[in-house]
Amino acid sequence: MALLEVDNISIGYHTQKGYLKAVEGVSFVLEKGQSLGLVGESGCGKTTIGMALMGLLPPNGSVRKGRILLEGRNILTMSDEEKRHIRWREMAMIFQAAMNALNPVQRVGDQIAEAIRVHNPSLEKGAALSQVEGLFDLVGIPRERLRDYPHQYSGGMKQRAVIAMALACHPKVIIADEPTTALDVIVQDQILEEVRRLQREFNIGIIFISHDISIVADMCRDIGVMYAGQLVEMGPWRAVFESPAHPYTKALLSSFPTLTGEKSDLVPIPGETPNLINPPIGCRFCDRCPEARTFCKATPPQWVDMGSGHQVLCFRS
Amino acid sequence: MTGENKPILQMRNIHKVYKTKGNLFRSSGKDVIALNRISLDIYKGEIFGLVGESGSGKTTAGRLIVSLEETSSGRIFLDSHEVTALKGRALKTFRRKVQMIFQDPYQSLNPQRSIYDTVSEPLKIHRMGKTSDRKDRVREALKAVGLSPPDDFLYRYPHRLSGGQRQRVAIARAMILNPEFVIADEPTSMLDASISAQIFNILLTMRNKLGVTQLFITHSLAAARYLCDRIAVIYRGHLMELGRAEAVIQSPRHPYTQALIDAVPKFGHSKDARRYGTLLAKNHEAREDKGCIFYPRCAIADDHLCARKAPGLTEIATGHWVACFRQGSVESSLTPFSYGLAEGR
Repeated sequence: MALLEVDNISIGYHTQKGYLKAVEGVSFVLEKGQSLGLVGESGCGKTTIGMALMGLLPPNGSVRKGRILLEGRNILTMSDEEKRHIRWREMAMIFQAAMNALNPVQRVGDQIAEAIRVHNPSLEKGAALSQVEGLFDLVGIPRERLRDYPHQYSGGMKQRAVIAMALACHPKVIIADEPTTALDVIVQDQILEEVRRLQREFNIGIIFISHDISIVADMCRDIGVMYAGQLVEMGPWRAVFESPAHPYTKALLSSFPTLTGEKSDLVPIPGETPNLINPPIGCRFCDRCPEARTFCKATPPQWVDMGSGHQVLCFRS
Repeated sequence: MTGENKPILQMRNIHKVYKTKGNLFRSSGKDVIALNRISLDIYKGEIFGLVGESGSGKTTAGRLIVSLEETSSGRIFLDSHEVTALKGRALKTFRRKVQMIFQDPYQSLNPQRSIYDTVSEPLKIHRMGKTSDRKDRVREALKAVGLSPPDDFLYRYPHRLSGGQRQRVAIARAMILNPEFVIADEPTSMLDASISAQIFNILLTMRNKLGVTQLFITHSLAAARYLCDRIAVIYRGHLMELGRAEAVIQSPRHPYTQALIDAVPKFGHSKDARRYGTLLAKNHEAREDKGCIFYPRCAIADDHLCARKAPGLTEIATGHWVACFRQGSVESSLTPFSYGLAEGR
């Protein structure tokens, strides 16, 4: 049984302008101890999926269709009580912008201890704090910083504290939503290395959400490329990035500057992403696609199997 | 870049100190040195990249050049006129020649002004052109940044534009006065990759077609590599390495530059990725205000020399400058980068 299975999920938001179909028909599987990267640009629905997995969608958002199975149990049909039980204990999230994820008027150690005690009420505060010390060792924060407030931490240390909090209840799945975007490249490298080490050590399944293809390529075994609310390409990282099949993946790769290899011209993607209140009937990328044909606009594309787990949602492949 | 390296902008010994205010209990904190005696030349027609992490002083350098702030000491020359001494009319003329593009297009455009108002405002301020001409110039500027047909955009307000479109409006506004020198301060850090590429290409066209010299401030070595002719790497207010972009990235000589390159996620082209390993896992104890600024984190530092004396910039190859005593020994730490980790996942 897969650790986490997302089956044909559709998520939307009620907005003033109408119902916004943020995610449509997304399916993927995460095995125990593996890492899956969801990559795409702003507004593609990647964060929405992360929030839905955690049951943290805002009040105007809801899962319209599909199933989320955590070790075979459908999270979406659970009661709030059951969901609360799963959240943090089995599935945790490292939020984007760690700067704002911590309570500024509470000592960092106390915050994490509190999170532990919420899920384990019988634990004494002292015992919880000594668990936090252990977590600090794990993520590389000096123990003497336990009694500091968040503002006394650097950006990288706050991010480490947020990772410590995610690890606090020994989850099986961690959803990391742009965990390093606000950080400098050297700190980012250290944090990613830490995440990799912790993942191996505790055999955690990680869903890594990012707009930065170089990070997901570095961190994840499998990659899902998202565009305008849909997964458009899925597969092992080498297949997806070294022989991309979807025109959007190709375009994304050729708009990304690299440090190594031949210096080649960056090709921007012309046009804008479609409006998701009235999404196009056919392929959502066809207006910006250099390879589009007339029928791309008229009918929705189907998944094509490229072999060894590599799949693409496109007529042209 | 033009063959004869004629400097358009010269910075000489630029020093900038921010005084921190004391609080109720302490009289004063420690002063922050944002820039420590920086000297560099930017040549006519080139795109010069200033690369550094947050807090390195790269934005401060940009703000000093457009005289949004005053230097603590040192002098800046544009076309051999001293910027730091300009006042009144001369300062206004200078501000026409030098323009800035800011990081966040969501904050740099006035939401209550239409695109036409925003882009034409510099013309009004500098009393250039008649009202009727202005509209044509705005149209042309919008077309030049790829907002076409321009009439669709003239009377729109910023809230109806995407981030990339906003940044293009900001560029059009900077370009409408035909500046000689443009400072772009992280112009794409708020934008997606596919949109960033558009902005990069607009900046390149600006240089190639109009010969506009640019200072490109960024934290991304990859972006600097794509866009810039020369790169300067700055760390905590100190210039660490300066040279032709390909030289600095393909054969970096300063351990800090090498550490930066190590830290960039390698992706694709794994064959020519190398690992330098010049960053210390655990910091050295630093002696106060002495020695190399990078000494506490440097894996190849000499405990006697580097901790006691600050290295100056030395030219190690034509046009390639490095501030490091140990730069000769760095090459030896170069080992082939293995993709072992990536395969293990």
